[in-house]
Amino acid sequence: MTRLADIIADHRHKEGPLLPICHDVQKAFGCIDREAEAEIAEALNLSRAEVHGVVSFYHDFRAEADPRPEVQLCRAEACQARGVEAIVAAGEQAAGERVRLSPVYCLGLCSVGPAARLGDAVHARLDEAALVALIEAA
Amino acid sequence: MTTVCISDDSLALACGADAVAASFAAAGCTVERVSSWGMHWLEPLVEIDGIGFGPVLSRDVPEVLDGTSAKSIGLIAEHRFIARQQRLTFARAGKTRPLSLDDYQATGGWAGLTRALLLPPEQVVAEVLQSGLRGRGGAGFPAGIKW
Repeated sequence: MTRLADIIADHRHKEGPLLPICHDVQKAFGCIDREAEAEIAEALNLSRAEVHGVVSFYHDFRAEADPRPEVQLCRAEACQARGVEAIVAAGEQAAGERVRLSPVYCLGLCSVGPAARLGDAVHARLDEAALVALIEAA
Repeated sequence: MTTVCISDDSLALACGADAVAASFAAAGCTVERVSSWGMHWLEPLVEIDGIGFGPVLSRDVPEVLDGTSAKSIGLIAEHRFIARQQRLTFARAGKTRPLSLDDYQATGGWAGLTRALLLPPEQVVAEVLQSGLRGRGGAGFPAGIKW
Protein backbone atom coordinates (compact mmCIF):
# COMPACT_ATOMS: atom_id res chain seq x y z
CA MET A 1 0.00 0.00 0.00
CA THR A 2 2.91 2.38 -0.52
CA ARG A 3 1.07 4.18 -3.28
CA LEU A 4 -1.80 5.00 -0.96
CA ALA A 5 0.71 6.36 1.56
CA ASP A 6 2.28 8.46 -1.19
CA ILE A 7 -1.09 9.90 -2.17
CA ILE A 8 -1.88 10.78 1.43
CA ALA A 9 1.56 12.36 1.87
CA ASP A 10 0.97 14.48 -1.27
CA HIS A 11 -2.12 16.12 0.20
CA ARG A 12 -2.15 15.85 3.99
CA HIS A 13 -0.56 19.28 4.54
CA LYS A 14 -3.37 20.98 2.60
CA GLU A 15 -6.42 22.65 4.03
CA GLY A 16 -9.27 20.22 3.30
CA PRO A 17 -7.12 17.28 2.16
CA LEU A 18 -9.83 14.59 2.21
CA LEU A 19 -11.42 15.18 -1.20
CA PRO A 20 -8.14 15.60 -3.10
CA ILE A 21 -6.94 12.34 -1.51
CA CYS A 22 -10.19 10.57 -2.43
CA HIS A 23 -9.93 11.75 -6.03
CA ASP A 24 -6.37 10.48 -6.39
CA VAL A 25 -7.10 7.17 -4.65
CA GLN A 26 -10.15 6.57 -6.87
CA LYS A 27 -8.05 7.39 -9.93
CA ALA A 28 -5.12 5.18 -8.90
CA PHE A 29 -7.03 2.13 -7.65
CA GLY A 30 -10.43 2.43 -9.33
CA CYS A 31 -12.05 2.41 -5.90
CA ILE A 32 -11.76 3.55 -2.30
CA ASP A 33 -12.23 0.35 -0.29
CA ARG A 34 -12.65 -0.06 3.46
CA GLU A 35 -8.92 -0.52 4.02
CA ALA A 36 -8.15 2.69 2.17
CA GLU A 37 -10.85 4.49 4.15
CA ALA A 38 -9.27 3.33 7.39
CA GLU A 39 -5.79 4.40 6.32
CA ILE A 40 -7.02 7.82 5.19
CA ALA A 41 -8.96 8.27 8.45
CA GLU A 42 -5.88 7.39 10.51
CA ALA A 43 -3.66 9.80 8.58
CA LEU A 44 -6.09 12.71 8.77
CA ASN A 45 -7.15 12.08 12.37
CA LEU A 46 -10.76 11.52 11.29
CA SER A 47 -13.09 8.71 12.23
CA ARG A 48 -13.63 5.96 9.68
CA ALA A 49 -17.30 6.89 9.73
CA GLU A 50 -16.48 10.42 8.60
CA VAL A 51 -14.35 9.19 5.70
CA HIS A 52 -16.92 6.55 4.77
CA GLY A 53 -19.63 9.21 4.84
CA VAL A 54 -17.76 11.29 2.29
CA VAL A 55 -16.81 8.33 0.09
CA SER A 56 -20.34 6.91 0.04
CA PHE A 57 -21.94 10.32 -0.55
CA TYR A 58 -20.30 10.87 -3.94
CA HIS A 59 -21.35 8.36 -6.59
CA ASP A 60 -18.09 8.76 -8.49
CA PHE A 61 -16.21 7.26 -5.54
CA ARG A 62 -16.66 3.50 -5.64
CA ALA A 63 -16.26 0.91 -2.88
CA GLU A 64 -15.20 -1.77 -5.35
CA ALA A 65 -13.27 -1.39 -8.60
CA ASP A 66 -15.21 -1.99 -11.79
CA PRO A 67 -13.02 -2.13 -14.88
CA ARG A 68 -15.92 -1.90 -17.32
CA PRO A 69 -16.37 1.30 -19.32
CA GLU A 70 -19.21 3.44 -17.99
CA VAL A 71 -21.88 5.32 -19.90
CA GLN A 72 -23.95 7.67 -17.75
CA LEU A 73 -27.42 8.28 -19.14
CA CYS A 74 -29.36 11.24 -17.76
CA ARG A 75 -32.72 10.18 -16.34
CA ALA A 76 -33.69 13.52 -14.78
CA GLU A 77 -36.91 15.42 -15.47
CA ALA A 78 -35.94 17.33 -18.62
CA CYS A 79 -34.44 14.29 -20.32
CA GLN A 80 -37.53 12.30 -19.34
CA ALA A 81 -39.69 14.98 -20.90
CA ARG A 82 -37.60 14.68 -24.04
CA GLY A 83 -38.04 10.92 -24.22
CA VAL A 84 -35.11 9.22 -22.49
CA GLU A 85 -37.27 6.49 -20.92
CA ALA A 86 -38.19 5.19 -24.38
CA ILE A 87 -34.56 4.48 -25.28
CA VAL A 88 -33.36 2.99 -21.98
CA ALA A 89 -34.26 -0.61 -22.89
CA ALA A 90 -32.26 -0.49 -26.12
CA GLY A 91 -29.36 1.00 -24.19
CA GLU A 92 -29.44 -1.73 -21.56
CA GLN A 93 -29.53 -4.38 -24.28
CA ALA A 94 -26.54 -2.82 -26.06
CA ALA A 95 -24.63 -2.49 -22.78
CA GLY A 96 -25.17 -6.09 -21.68
CA GLU A 97 -22.52 -7.14 -19.18
CA ARG A 98 -19.68 -5.38 -21.01
CA VAL A 99 -20.62 -1.75 -20.32
CA ARG A 100 -21.89 -0.23 -17.10
CA LEU A 101 -24.92 1.87 -18.05
CA SER A 102 -25.62 4.13 -15.07
CA PRO A 103 -28.36 6.62 -14.41
CA VAL A 104 -27.22 10.16 -13.69
CA TYR A 105 -29.34 13.05 -12.53
CA CYS A 106 -28.61 16.01 -14.77
CA LEU A 107 -25.67 16.69 -17.02
CA GLY A 108 -26.77 20.29 -17.54
CA LEU A 109 -27.95 19.60 -21.09
CA CYS A 110 -31.66 19.93 -20.35
CA SER A 111 -32.52 21.81 -23.55
CA VAL A 112 -30.93 19.19 -25.83
CA GLY A 113 -31.62 15.90 -24.02
CA PRO A 114 -31.65 12.96 -23.89
CA ALA A 115 -28.03 13.33 -22.85
CA ALA A 116 -25.27 10.92 -21.86
CA ARG A 117 -21.66 11.03 -20.79
CA LEU A 118 -18.79 8.75 -21.72
CA GLY A 119 -15.48 9.66 -20.07
CA ASP A 120 -15.06 13.40 -20.35
CA ALA A 121 -17.32 13.79 -23.40
CA VAL A 122 -21.02 14.60 -23.26
CA HIS A 123 -23.49 13.68 -25.99
CA ALA A 124 -26.85 15.29 -26.64
CA ARG A 125 -30.03 14.73 -28.69
CA LEU A 126 -29.68 10.97 -28.33
CA ASP A 127 -32.13 8.74 -30.06
CA GLU A 128 -32.06 4.97 -29.79
CA ALA A 129 -29.52 4.53 -32.59
CA ALA A 130 -27.18 7.23 -31.23
CA LEU A 131 -27.30 5.78 -27.70
CA VAL A 132 -26.60 2.26 -28.96
CA ALA A 133 -23.70 3.56 -31.09
CA LEU A 134 -22.27 5.43 -28.09
CA ILE A 135 -22.47 2.32 -25.88
CA GLU A 136 -20.94 0.11 -28.55
CA ALA A 137 -18.05 2.57 -28.92
CA ALA A 138 -17.43 2.63 -25.15
CA MET B 1 -9.93 33.00 -46.23
CA THR B 2 -13.33 32.55 -44.62
CA THR B 3 -13.49 32.90 -40.85
CA VAL B 4 -16.06 30.68 -39.18
CA CYS B 5 -17.19 31.10 -35.56
CA ILE B 6 -18.44 27.99 -33.74
CA SER B 7 -19.17 27.67 -30.03
CA ASP B 8 -17.07 25.35 -27.91
CA ASP B 9 -19.17 25.44 -24.78
CA SER B 10 -20.11 22.02 -23.43
CA LEU B 11 -23.62 22.08 -24.87
CA ALA B 12 -22.34 22.85 -28.37
CA LEU B 13 -19.74 20.09 -27.98
CA ALA B 14 -22.46 17.65 -26.90
CA CYS B 15 -24.31 18.56 -30.10
CA GLY B 16 -21.26 17.75 -32.23
CA ALA B 17 -19.55 21.15 -32.63
CA ASP B 18 -16.03 19.69 -32.72
CA ALA B 19 -16.76 17.54 -35.78
CA VAL B 20 -18.33 20.50 -37.57
CA ALA B 21 -15.36 22.72 -36.68
CA ALA B 22 -12.98 20.07 -38.05
CA SER B 23 -14.97 19.91 -41.30
CA PHE B 24 -14.73 23.69 -41.78
CA ALA B 25 -11.00 23.59 -41.02
CA ALA B 26 -10.58 20.78 -43.56
CA ALA B 27 -12.39 22.95 -46.11
CA GLY B 28 -9.72 25.63 -45.60
CA CYS B 29 -11.57 27.95 -43.24
CA THR B 30 -10.17 29.72 -40.20
CA VAL B 31 -12.23 28.47 -37.27
CA GLU B 32 -12.68 30.59 -34.13
CA ARG B 33 -14.18 28.84 -31.10
CA VAL B 34 -16.44 31.31 -29.33
CA SER B 35 -19.07 31.15 -26.61
CA SER B 36 -22.68 30.24 -27.38
CA TRP B 37 -25.41 32.75 -28.22
CA GLY B 38 -27.68 30.54 -26.12
CA MET B 39 -29.91 29.43 -29.00
CA HIS B 40 -29.56 25.78 -28.06
CA TRP B 41 -31.94 24.46 -30.69
CA LEU B 42 -29.59 25.89 -33.35
CA GLU B 43 -26.37 24.37 -31.97
CA PRO B 44 -23.96 23.70 -33.52
CA LEU B 45 -24.53 27.28 -34.70
CA VAL B 46 -22.06 28.50 -37.30
CA GLU B 47 -21.47 32.22 -37.86
CA ILE B 48 -19.86 33.67 -40.96
CA ASP B 49 -19.73 37.49 -41.29
CA GLY B 50 -22.63 37.87 -38.88
CA ILE B 51 -24.84 35.36 -40.73
CA GLY B 52 -25.90 32.31 -38.73
CA PHE B 53 -26.47 28.73 -39.85
CA GLY B 54 -27.83 26.02 -37.64
CA PRO B 55 -28.01 23.35 -36.56
CA VAL B 56 -25.06 22.48 -38.83
CA LEU B 57 -23.80 18.97 -39.48
CA SER B 58 -20.54 18.17 -41.26
CA ARG B 59 -22.45 17.26 -44.41
CA ASP B 60 -23.91 20.80 -44.51
CA VAL B 61 -20.47 22.44 -44.79
CA PRO B 62 -20.29 22.77 -48.61
CA GLU B 63 -23.73 24.42 -48.84
CA VAL B 64 -22.96 26.75 -45.93
CA LEU B 65 -19.78 27.86 -47.68
CA ASP B 66 -21.36 28.37 -51.14
CA GLY B 67 -24.27 30.30 -49.65
CA THR B 68 -27.05 27.88 -50.66
CA SER B 69 -27.71 26.33 -47.25
CA ALA B 70 -31.33 26.20 -46.18
CA LYS B 71 -30.06 26.34 -42.59
CA SER B 72 -29.28 30.06 -42.82
CA ILE B 73 -31.04 32.10 -40.14
CA GLY B 74 -29.87 35.45 -41.54
CA LEU B 75 -28.06 37.99 -39.40
CA ILE B 76 -27.83 36.60 -35.89
CA ALA B 77 -28.07 40.07 -34.33
CA GLU B 78 -31.43 40.52 -36.07
CA HIS B 79 -32.79 37.07 -35.21
CA ARG B 80 -36.08 37.45 -33.40
CA PHE B 81 -34.78 35.55 -30.35
CA ILE B 82 -31.81 37.94 -30.05
CA ALA B 83 -33.11 41.26 -31.37
CA ARG B 84 -35.59 41.86 -28.54
CA GLN B 85 -33.14 41.03 -25.77
CA GLN B 86 -31.13 43.59 -23.87
CA ARG B 87 -28.06 41.67 -22.79
CA LEU B 88 -25.89 43.07 -20.01
CA THR B 89 -23.95 40.39 -18.17
CA PHE B 90 -24.40 38.16 -21.23
CA ALA B 91 -23.47 40.89 -23.71
CA ARG B 92 -20.40 38.97 -24.92
CA ALA B 93 -22.22 35.64 -25.34
CA GLY B 94 -21.66 34.31 -28.83
CA LYS B 95 -19.24 37.09 -29.69
CA THR B 96 -15.98 36.38 -27.90
CA ARG B 97 -13.69 33.52 -26.99
CA PRO B 98 -14.65 32.99 -23.35
CA LEU B 99 -11.10 32.38 -22.09
CA SER B 100 -9.51 35.20 -24.08
CA LEU B 101 -8.50 38.21 -22.01
CA ASP B 102 -7.73 40.03 -25.28
CA ASP B 103 -11.34 39.55 -26.41
CA TYR B 104 -12.53 40.68 -22.99
CA GLN B 105 -10.43 43.83 -23.16
CA ALA B 106 -11.48 44.56 -26.74
CA THR B 107 -15.15 44.50 -25.69
CA GLY B 108 -14.85 46.91 -22.77
CA GLY B 109 -13.37 44.56 -20.20
CA TRP B 110 -11.41 45.97 -17.24
CA ALA B 111 -13.01 49.42 -17.67
CA GLY B 112 -14.72 49.30 -14.27
CA LEU B 113 -11.66 47.92 -12.52
CA THR B 114 -9.40 50.50 -14.15
CA ARG B 115 -11.65 53.31 -12.98
CA ALA B 116 -12.03 51.83 -9.49
CA LEU B 117 -8.25 51.79 -9.08
CA LEU B 118 -8.13 55.53 -9.82
CA LEU B 119 -10.77 56.41 -7.21
CA PRO B 120 -10.23 56.76 -3.46
CA PRO B 121 -11.70 53.82 -1.51
CA GLU B 122 -14.47 55.92 0.06
CA GLN B 123 -15.74 56.92 -3.38
CA VAL B 124 -15.66 53.29 -4.62
CA VAL B 125 -17.77 52.28 -1.64
CA ALA B 126 -20.12 55.23 -2.18
CA GLU B 127 -20.65 54.26 -5.83
CA VAL B 128 -21.22 50.59 -4.99
CA LEU B 129 -23.79 51.69 -2.43
CA GLN B 130 -25.44 54.08 -4.90
CA SER B 131 -25.52 51.38 -7.61
CA GLY B 132 -27.88 49.29 -5.49
CA LEU B 133 -25.65 46.21 -5.87
CA ARG B 134 -26.82 43.56 -3.42
CA GLY B 135 -25.62 40.18 -2.22
CA ARG B 136 -27.27 37.14 -3.81
CA GLY B 137 -27.29 35.01 -0.67
CA GLY B 138 -30.97 35.58 -0.04
CA ALA B 139 -30.94 38.49 2.39
CA GLY B 140 -30.13 40.99 -0.35
CA PHE B 141 -27.66 42.83 1.85
CA PRO B 142 -26.33 46.00 0.18
CA ALA B 143 -22.76 45.28 -0.98
CA GLY B 144 -21.65 48.85 -0.29
CA ILE B 145 -22.35 48.53 3.45
CA LYS B 146 -20.36 45.31 3.65
CA TRP B 147 -17.39 46.89 1.89
